[in-house]
Amino acid sequence: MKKTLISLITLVVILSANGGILSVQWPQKSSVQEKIQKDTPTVLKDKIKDVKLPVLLPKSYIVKQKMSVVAEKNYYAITIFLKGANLMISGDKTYQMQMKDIDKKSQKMLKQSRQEFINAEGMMITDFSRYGVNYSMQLECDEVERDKRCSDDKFLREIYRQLVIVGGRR
Amino acid sequence: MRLYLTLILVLLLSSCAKTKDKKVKTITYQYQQHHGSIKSKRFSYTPAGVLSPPSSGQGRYGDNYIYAPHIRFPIENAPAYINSQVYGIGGMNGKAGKLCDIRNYQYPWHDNFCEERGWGMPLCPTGKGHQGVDIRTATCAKKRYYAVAVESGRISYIGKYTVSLRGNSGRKYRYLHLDSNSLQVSRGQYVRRGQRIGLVSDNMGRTKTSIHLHFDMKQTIVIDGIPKQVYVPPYSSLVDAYKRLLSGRP
Repeated sequence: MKKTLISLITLVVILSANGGILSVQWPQKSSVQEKIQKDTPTVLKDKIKDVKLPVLLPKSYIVKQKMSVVAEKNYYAITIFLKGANLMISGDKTYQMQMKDIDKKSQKMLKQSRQEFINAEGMMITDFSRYGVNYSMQLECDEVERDKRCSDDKFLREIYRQLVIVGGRR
Repeated sequence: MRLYLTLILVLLLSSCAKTKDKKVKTITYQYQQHHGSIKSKRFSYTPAGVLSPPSSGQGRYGDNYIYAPHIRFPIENAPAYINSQVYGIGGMNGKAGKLCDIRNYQYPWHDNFCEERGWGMPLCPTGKGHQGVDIRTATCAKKRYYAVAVESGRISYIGKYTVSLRGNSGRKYRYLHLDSNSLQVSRGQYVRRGQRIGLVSDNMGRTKTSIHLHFDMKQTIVIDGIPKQVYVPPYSSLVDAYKRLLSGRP
């Protein structure tokens, strides 16, 4: 109890420095969404039950794939183990800085920036904002140079198109 | 007439740029080490955003902001050297020689955030560049030096050659090229600041790279109400952390 309280105070102090918690803009419930959540395996549902943001996963990977889940109230990271590659999808509802904390030039740079699918350090990566919070996708291959999934954005874009909400607490 | 004026202006500007390059100073930090007797030592570094060689890209010159205050230096022990892998001696675009050349293992440090790369990076002056910094350990020895947690938090991801740590601050740190067999952490594990993660190596899946730690930090900045997750410059935070490590207060 004491340990939890100390951790909570530390977290509040850290976040209150310049950052905080983003407010989630939950989408309206739909029958399609409800069906997807109903079909989500119970094991996965249990692991993400306390996450307070929409948990996104690619539709065709929900049931079949082996995965590892790291989840907290404001954050989750799910690693899907593919043949010869790892796919990580994460969501986060915290922020560390606001516009006033950075110089005008950087503000302009960030305002102009758009979502990109980049091939950096041998991986395919994309970061995006949805429902008022942040998400990241990262694909890392065994064969950095030979595996097209990590050198071409086609594969990650396809996964991105398949993202659906599988859980998260409102 | 207008052409002459333009030419003069261009010449003046280019000479100013050259003068600016020459004026780049190395900053020296003096500290004392207590090993029986007190020894005075020095660590030197060039300012944030000054890339070496200048042709290696355009850094965020003048940005000395410490984006991640009070972090622990990501290598367990000093010395360590921040400098370019690509433009260093033996590197792909560097001077001829071996990657283990002693000149790659000495001060001053050089920032390599935003060093020329082909991928998009919103905070780099050219819109593209290296999203972190490369750090060499004390010597060129493989699998000898530990990378440690810069902040307390949870290990969010372990991949083929990447370990990600999500700090309690919400900031995300990536450690690349650690030896997979030496990892001291597992997915989801809570780690304390300074706790060992793994040994620095040349791991890049089945491909090999030079022996170094690629370290980067990603955080969320809210711009006009929209959260943007971006790689932020780690150099100044690391200089600050390294000074504390050298002074015995990591």
